[in-house]
Amino acid sequence: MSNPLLKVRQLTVNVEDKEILHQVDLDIATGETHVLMGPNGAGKSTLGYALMGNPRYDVTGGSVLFDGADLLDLSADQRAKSGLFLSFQNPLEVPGITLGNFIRNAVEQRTGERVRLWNFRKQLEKECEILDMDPSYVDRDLNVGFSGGEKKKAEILQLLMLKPKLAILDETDSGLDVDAVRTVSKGVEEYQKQEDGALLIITHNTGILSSLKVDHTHVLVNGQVVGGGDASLVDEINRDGYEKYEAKAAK
Amino acid sequence: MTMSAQEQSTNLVVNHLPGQTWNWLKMNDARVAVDAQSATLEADTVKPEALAEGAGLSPIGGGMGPDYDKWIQGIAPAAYHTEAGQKIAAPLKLTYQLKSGATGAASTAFDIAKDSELTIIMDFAGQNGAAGTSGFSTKLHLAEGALVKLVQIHRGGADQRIFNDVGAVLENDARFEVVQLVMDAADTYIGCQADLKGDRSSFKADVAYLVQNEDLLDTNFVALHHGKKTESTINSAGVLRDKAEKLFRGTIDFKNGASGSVGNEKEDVMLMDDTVINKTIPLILCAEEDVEGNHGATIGKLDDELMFYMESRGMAADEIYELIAKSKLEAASRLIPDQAVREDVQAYIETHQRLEKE
Repeated sequence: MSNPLLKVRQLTVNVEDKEILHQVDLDIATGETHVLMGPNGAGKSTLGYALMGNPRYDVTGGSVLFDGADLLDLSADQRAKSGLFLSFQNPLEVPGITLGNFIRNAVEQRTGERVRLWNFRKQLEKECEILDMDPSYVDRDLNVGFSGGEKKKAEILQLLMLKPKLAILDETDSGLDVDAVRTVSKGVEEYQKQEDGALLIITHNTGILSSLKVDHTHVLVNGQVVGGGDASLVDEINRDGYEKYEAKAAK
Repeated sequence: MTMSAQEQSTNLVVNHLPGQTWNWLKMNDARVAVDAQSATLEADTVKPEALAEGAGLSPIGGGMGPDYDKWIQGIAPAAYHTEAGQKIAAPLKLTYQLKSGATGAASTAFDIAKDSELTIIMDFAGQNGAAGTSGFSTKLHLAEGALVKLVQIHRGGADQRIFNDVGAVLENDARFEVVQLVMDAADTYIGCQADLKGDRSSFKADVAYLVQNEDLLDTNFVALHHGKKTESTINSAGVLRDKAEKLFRGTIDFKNGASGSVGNEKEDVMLMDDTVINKTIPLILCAEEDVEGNHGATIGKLDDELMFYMESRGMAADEIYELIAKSKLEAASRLIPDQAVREDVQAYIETHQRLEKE
């Protein structure tokens, strides 16, 4: 990959003085779908948070280039403005700010332009339909009183509206029933179709991948990338588990 | 109507806490030097045709207290009344322009007949730089089964001092709902008292505020439970920033005989700077055994994880602070029953900028 959209080299990350990620390398090109798998506690979410710029995650070594710029020099909001998106595993509740208002503000910040309300509303309704989401949700306070599935759909709705270059989906499928996973997967597919967007999908579940063509699979164990391959690796891990990779990490 | 100016200023003692606490806390009341009112503030009025004017009320106590009643007694109230069973769909809209350099006041009285319904929207609007003092008094009598929704919007007038007093007496099965949004004024004093005299009568107050600069908000909400199975709910939610100061007094007073009554008060305050002063005094007084009184308070700062969540959507810290600062007002604005006013207020909140002092 000569000129990847995301180029991670030797990334080392600490959380509260404990090293969680050790010299991770990762390349993702425009339009590609990458899957990141690993047992619980491997550091998958840490990678997502560190790339997005959560100040709790301290990058102690390595480099990250995103769309040709040094990502580590940017604050979280600047990273988002440059086209990076993180779908949260546990999206936060924001009383007093409606989902629609939140997205509108985010779109204005991302694009630097005032949105035209009528067009914005139409676009929102269209994306809600893809996600089988009642449009009345956009007038409710962000994530307040939403079920787990509704929160995840609200995350994908933001993905569709914000149109990032690379989306990191952190266990977006966790805690969802089969139908909800299928709907979310459809939304992610739509994003990729519309934007030729790149994806880094952190998951334990193949359901979310059903509508997507996986290009690369990475296995993270104890904070190290210890394996990689094509889409078939997802099935192999689902069948055989992480034992082989844990042994490799132990060495 | 213009009244002759009186020469002396008065020391008003307002917003008395019904049960006193330590004096050194300076929470028992608010003491304010104020000039005698010099002019009646006339409202720009949009009146539903069905609503009749005239007919005063016997004296009704407000949250501000007797000193304030005395101060404002020279102002003749604009009076309105409904007929029994009359459900008036369109709201009565009273818009007051806060004046510069004057001490103005307005008084309004409502006699709401049996089983009738009325929505009242009061807009206290002022231009930035209109320094002055404005006082308002709204008194209501709700007969059996009556319903009143009162919306009061404080906006504009960064250099104004505003007194806003509300007092209501409710007979059997009457309901009184109050929504107050407070923005901008330098010093705002709000007193609101509901006397739940009749059985099964109920009172609900939702107040939301954004207090900033070195502004002050001093409130006193009182629910007097006299009747049986009466209900009160007081919700106060707001944001303080800069060197703002807020004092919330919320009293649920269960009188002897108010058996089966329930009172709830809840406060939710977001503190955006270390330099704000936030005082809260919830009070539940009980002279009856068979009652239930609850109070809860959430007082906090902006959570780091919430900041990160919003930043991850491309919002810079300043933008997040603005959004959060307006969020409590936004939430309360959705309680405004009139769509046109609701949208107008929401547009005002959205475009609201921090007002600079003149």
